[in-house]
Amino acid sequence: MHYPIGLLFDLLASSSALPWNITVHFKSFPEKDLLHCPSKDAIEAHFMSCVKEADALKHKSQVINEMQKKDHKQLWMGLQNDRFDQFWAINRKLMEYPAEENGFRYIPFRIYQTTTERPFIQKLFRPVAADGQLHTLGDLLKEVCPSALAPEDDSHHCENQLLY
Amino acid sequence: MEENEFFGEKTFQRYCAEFIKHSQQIGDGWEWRTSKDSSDGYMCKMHFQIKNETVVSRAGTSAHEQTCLPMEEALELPLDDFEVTESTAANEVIKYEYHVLYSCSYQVPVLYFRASFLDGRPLALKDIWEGVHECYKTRLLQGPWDTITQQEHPILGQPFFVLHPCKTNEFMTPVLKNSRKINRNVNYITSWLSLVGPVVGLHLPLSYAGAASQDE
Repeated sequence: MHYPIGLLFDLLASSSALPWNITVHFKSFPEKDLLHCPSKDAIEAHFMSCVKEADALKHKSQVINEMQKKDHKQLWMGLQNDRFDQFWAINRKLMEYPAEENGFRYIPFRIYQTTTERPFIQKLFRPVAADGQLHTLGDLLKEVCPSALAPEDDSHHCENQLLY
Repeated sequence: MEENEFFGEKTFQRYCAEFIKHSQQIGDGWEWRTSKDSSDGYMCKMHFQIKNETVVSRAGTSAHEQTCLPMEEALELPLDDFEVTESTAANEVIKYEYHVLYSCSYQVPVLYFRASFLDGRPLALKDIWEGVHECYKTRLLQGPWDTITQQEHPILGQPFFVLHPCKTNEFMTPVLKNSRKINRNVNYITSWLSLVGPVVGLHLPLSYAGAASQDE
């Protein structure tokens, strides 16, 4: 299972104080189940690959493709070195959308589940309904993962709009 | 007529069904697998290759040659081709598993694959990069991490190698535009797979092209 670090923390250690102490193993790597992380380049590549895929959903890749290699590098270095201003200078552009649109083309999301072989649910989902109403988190769950909602729940529990 | 060659999952499945129909006719081994929890699925095929490494020493220079041959062809070659002086020959059989999935983010097909020795030891990313055919090596070396990387299989969850899909639309659009110009029907999957497959050792018999033109 390749869960994002934030998800791992919430699942396993949410009551711990930061920094989170972990145990690293050097033997018996589970080759068939886990991806190797051979180098820092691998992490950078994976991060950029996720950012690109998200932009494919949000902007048909237009924003990410218009950026130069040095902008991509700045995004990564800002994250790696914990330099928010450096990171946000680039990421800000990925979070914008044209004034005439109501939001991104599709919302990038992944729903991780522990009970399935499938690592996560990821589908196309628009931020705005056909009638112009903004979709909420509840709408998303209802459509792509109805089992996550208890039968008597309705969207009132999940009023958070999907744009942030 | 579409500017860009994007299509939805249903169309993807239709092209795959046509592709598999021909595969069954010629015994090429592709099959369709449906995911356990939903209607989506993928095509998959297994095949075995002999990796033949020979080191040749000749008058002070040494050349390292590496060829990947489909098993049947390898067995038909006369023995002379394998005779070398001062060499170590290591014949290893590698099992390849290719999966064709649909990416709803990029709205194109994506090629996933994994490779292992017969004893189950998986090949590493480095081995895969090294195994890419010479004529694609330059492109790979320009940006290895943009080309072939390792990721979780979106349905099975296990580590697979992936040919990155972000450039697919770029190279498929002119191919399909040209076919339309000469009024030729194409199966997107057939054209796409014939372009990307060879990079990672997957070849399509020419009869697929004939089958695609006859459809519809």
